[in-house]
Amino acid sequence: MDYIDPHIHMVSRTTDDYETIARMGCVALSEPAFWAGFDRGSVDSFRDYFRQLTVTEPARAAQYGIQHFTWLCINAKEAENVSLSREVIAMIPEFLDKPNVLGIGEIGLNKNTKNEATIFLEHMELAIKFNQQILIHTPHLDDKYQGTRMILDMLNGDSRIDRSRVLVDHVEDTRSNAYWTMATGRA
Amino acid sequence: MSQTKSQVLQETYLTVRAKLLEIAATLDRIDRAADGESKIEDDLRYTRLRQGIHLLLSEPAPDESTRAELMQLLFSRSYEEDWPSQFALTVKR
Repeated sequence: MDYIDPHIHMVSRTTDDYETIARMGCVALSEPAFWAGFDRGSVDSFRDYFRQLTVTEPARAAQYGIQHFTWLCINAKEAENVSLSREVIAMIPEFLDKPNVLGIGEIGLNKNTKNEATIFLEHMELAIKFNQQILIHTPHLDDKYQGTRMILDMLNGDSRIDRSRVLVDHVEDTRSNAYWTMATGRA
Repeated sequence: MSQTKSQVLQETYLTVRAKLLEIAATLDRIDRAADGESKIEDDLRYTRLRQGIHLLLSEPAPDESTRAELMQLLFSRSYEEDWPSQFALTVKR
């Protein structure tokens, strides 16, 4: 049976993993931009990462007959650095016309701080300005309930947001407020 | 077609049994372990685990929150409606 993986981070996987998932029936996948395991130091680091997401990974995937799609953003964890976040958000449009880019994501909250919420709102503005779909990361563990409600407050409060073009991931409760929802990587 | 209570139990019994055994073994390991610098009873996480176990035994009425929802809230930070003003952010409602 063919399948599409809706949320997978291939930058941290070997080519053996592409071979394995292809053998298991994966025909396409969606890879959101995320935290690398350390805080990146500059906007150029993100530019290289986005180049990896829009050039290198599609090429790696194609070797195994898999279509690679991606989302771009500065992730919620690194959004605590507001000045770097604004540089990255200003740079994202350089990549929005790449053929495998689905939209802005996975944006959200991590520890539900003021800086994270500020940058979330600025990502929303970016998505609205460039008519992009939005993929939402909801926080993990103790932060999930509080953070998810804060995210929904921000989305619901902006009438320019088309809820049919917003996907809320890592949900533990599927009452959706008319958004698309997904339950990958719940914790 | 929705399942009967027995069908749900049939499907899930072994998985839940395994999880209960793991919880029991974990509590036993905690009991056997030596005290550290502070008492385990003073650790909020331990208190929450015990509250969660008691919650499992509750029988919510149909119009009340489910055990799963109460369990989620037990292990969650609380939501405050005035968070935008606390952050001095403009968020329309």
